[in-house]
Amino acid sequence: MPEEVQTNDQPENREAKEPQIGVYICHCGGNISDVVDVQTVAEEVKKIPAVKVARTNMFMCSDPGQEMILEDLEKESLDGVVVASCSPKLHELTFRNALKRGNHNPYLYEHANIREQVSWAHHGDPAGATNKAIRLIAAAVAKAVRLEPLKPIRVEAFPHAVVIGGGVSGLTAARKLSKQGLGVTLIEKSPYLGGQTAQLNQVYPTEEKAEDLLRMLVEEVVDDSNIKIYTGAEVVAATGTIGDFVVRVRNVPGDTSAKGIGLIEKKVVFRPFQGCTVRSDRPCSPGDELEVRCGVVIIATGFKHYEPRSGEYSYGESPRVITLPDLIKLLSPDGPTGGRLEIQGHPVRDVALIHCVGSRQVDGIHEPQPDGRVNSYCSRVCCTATLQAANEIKDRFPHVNVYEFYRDIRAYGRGHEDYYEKASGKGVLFFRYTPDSPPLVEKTGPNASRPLKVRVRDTLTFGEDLEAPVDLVVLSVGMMPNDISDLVDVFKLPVGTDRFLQEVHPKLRPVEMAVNGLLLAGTSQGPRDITESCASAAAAASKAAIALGKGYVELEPFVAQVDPARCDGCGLCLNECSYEGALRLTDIEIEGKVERKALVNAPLCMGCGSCAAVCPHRAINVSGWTLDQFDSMVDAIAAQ
Amino acid sequence: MAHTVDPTFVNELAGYGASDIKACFNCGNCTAVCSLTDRGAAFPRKFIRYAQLGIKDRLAASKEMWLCYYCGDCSATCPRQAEPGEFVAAARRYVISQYDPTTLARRLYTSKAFSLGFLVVAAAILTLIMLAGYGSMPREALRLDSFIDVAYIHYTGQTVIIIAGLIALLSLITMVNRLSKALNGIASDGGGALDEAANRSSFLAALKTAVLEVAAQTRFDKCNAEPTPWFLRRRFVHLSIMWGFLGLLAATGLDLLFKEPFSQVPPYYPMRLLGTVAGLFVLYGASVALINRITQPDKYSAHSLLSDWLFVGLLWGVTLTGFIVEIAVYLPSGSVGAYIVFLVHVVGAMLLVLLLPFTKFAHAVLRPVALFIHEFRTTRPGA
Repeated sequence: MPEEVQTNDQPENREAKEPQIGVYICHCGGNISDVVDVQTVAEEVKKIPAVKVARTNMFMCSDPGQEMILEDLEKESLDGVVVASCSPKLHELTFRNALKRGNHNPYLYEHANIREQVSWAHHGDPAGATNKAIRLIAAAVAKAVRLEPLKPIRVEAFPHAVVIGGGVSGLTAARKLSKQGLGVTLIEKSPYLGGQTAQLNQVYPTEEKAEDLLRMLVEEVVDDSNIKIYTGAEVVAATGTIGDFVVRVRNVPGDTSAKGIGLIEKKVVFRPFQGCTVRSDRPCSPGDELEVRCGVVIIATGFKHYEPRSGEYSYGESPRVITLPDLIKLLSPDGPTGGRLEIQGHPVRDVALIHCVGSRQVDGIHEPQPDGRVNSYCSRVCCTATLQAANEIKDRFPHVNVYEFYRDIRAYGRGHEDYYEKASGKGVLFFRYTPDSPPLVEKTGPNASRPLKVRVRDTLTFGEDLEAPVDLVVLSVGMMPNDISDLVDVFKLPVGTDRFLQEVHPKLRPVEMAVNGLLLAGTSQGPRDITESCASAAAAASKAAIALGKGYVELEPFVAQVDPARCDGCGLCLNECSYEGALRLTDIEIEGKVERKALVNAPLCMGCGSCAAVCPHRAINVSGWTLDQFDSMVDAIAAQ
Repeated sequence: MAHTVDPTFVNELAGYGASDIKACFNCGNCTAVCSLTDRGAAFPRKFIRYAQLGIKDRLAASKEMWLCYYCGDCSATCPRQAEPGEFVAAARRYVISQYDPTTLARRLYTSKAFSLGFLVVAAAILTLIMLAGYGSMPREALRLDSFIDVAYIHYTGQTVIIIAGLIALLSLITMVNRLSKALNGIASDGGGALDEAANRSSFLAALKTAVLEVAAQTRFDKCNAEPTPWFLRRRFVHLSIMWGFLGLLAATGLDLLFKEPFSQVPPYYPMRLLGTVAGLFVLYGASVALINRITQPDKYSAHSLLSDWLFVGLLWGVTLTGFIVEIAVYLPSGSVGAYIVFLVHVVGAMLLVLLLPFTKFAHAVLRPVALFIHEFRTTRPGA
């Protein structure tokens, strides 16, 4: 029974008197109390000697619930708090912050999960569930009496940011960072600033010229003395942690043409389909390297277009099958035909636009990428971009027939639906296909009126087989992340199953990555349009300013700690450590004798505990999760 | 077989009054609101799609255009102002003109100038022919037999009826051919050969359905938003015109068979009585239709073409003049005015018959047959 737990292992690491623990058991509005008899749990837990109070509440996370804890801390002079409720992922931080609010150490807190691990898992066995809840709480109490009042690790923050990627997101992030008073180093691999935006003619939904948009952004960034621009440069290595990274940058080897442009042109010059060339601040001899110290790194490495397979919708087999970026070039006054809609030297009369090429692919239907995976995600921008192109064709060449073959029109953004509305008003014909019967692009015979035809089983026409004779087929290709495997290695970036970089939480921490101090901007994170990319870049810049604004960064104190008295400097722990610089051996003087001991660099330690597991002398422990604490928890659970 | 799309077809259809079907995005509101849509059918959404894509054979094979009674609900609720109701009317005009071997229907529908010109020229020719048989205008009584030689009226009338009838027949044959072909295409995978008995019974069932529908037009009552007094309901108005017209046709035919031309008969003489009653119905129906068209253009005639007005207007004019002549016949003396009204009546009636295959009127011949074919095709086991 639980009370026995308390008798056989007296705590000795805190004050002489027995620590007084308050236990709070949550009903979770029935989520827990419908299965677990919370009243019995409270009565049983109360019998543990260390437990001063044991209370229940309908919602512990509510304001009254939190107030109850704070009141008890004062009145009952508690030394530690245990809340038994949902997963610690949900509310551990809530209760730690409550303690902090009442000027108590937030680390004298332990969380017991009796919802996910008890009531939800054992709803068929209320008695067993109640018993399990009692044991889990007993274990939490056993740990709570051994908790130390920890302090967060404070790291000095270097007020500088590195932005990797000089597209519209990187430029926006750099500009916003500088406005927050931070120094910025913008690193772009290519010789040009502007990224994929430079490939566009006009951008939806404002219809402003991409060139004007980029020019404005680039000029602002170039004129800003807080921003250093390194074009034709790449990141090769990085060390450090949030607040104090050192990023190693070098010239892209073999890129000699770019070097000249970067150095010679003082003025911002826009080159269609390439980008803006600017004066580069980077070191200029090939292979040169330099180090940039910074507090945060923003990854804005962007996307590339899906390249259709040879033969996919006859791509590569007929020169009349092109991609949407090709069409945008064709329609641009700076394009190969000077803006005339011509293919093979003849004016286009009928054009087919096929949506979802390389997006929303289905396993078993579409051929996978080299990594074996299909692009199952929606690329989001192609629908509106395709509708925009259709409108432009209809406006400029009213006699050209335009056909759109789509799966779903996802014109989701403000003003996007207008493009659909206008296109259908102008007589663009829409055909809807299902993923298992995509349109077929076929060459026609010598007597046909048009060189190609697109056949489709159209669900809008009650599943009838239709064919449209055309002389141009445009594939709306989706987005894929740029190959940044080198950066993924350098920074240990988390990558999602869709190959895009992964944020911590899509809603709560949308621009942060699991590695502290690394932020996301733009399409490196997933398909999005310019509007959304700029928004995420601005969000990343704000996050950077929040992180660095105080001049220091506070990190959780759950890191490894060495007890020099027990450490014999064997170095086993070093082999296990996966975080460079987190753990090293050093000679320290103890009572006149120089001894070799392990030493933790707290900001770099992730608290994984690998070192603690291999230490033969229990000399190394993770604060807040010590081996002694675990022992006592196991004893409490196993106690009869 | 795959159908080749032709996006230019909507422009052609626009000539028949389909104002803006490009705007239709196939949401199905019209189908939902239409009280005539059968379960499982997508009327009128379905054949708007065929029109948008320019799949003409599918469009022509659609039963829908023969089912619609133009209540206007679909147009009123269309979220894109694509005017589906007007589209149905336009589609019907289009197919009527497609079946007409003379192309006159197309010209009458799509050109105002041609319509007016045709009307004037045809009226002038008919008037001249009548005047060629002119005798005198006795004033002591309305002596129509002395006014125009009865043979002129007789033979011209018969010629007009034969011409119109032949063309209508040709249209009908074309329609039956194309419809059968198109429906064969749709139901090509339907069951195999049928035994004669099953065929005959479904033939009779279809015939019964089509005849009942045409005779009583019960589906009219399903249309919402009808005026409340029964005599203003469009079903009654339409039935008045139809049965009245048939009554007049019967009276005229019987007159020809059993009555000495222009001989005086009392008003209660059976054929005269039938003609009077039938004429009253036509006059009533045509008057209400015209008044509606004039006073509520939004609902009844916003997109009407000149050709449509021509038919209703002529019908009304011919009936009205008919009654004036009938009254004048029983008056003690004749007047120049009455003789002229008679001339107008005769020419108008001939024009009306002449226009039968080329105007809205053609539906009187085409619709029952089309309904029957569709009914037969869909009720036939295995189809």
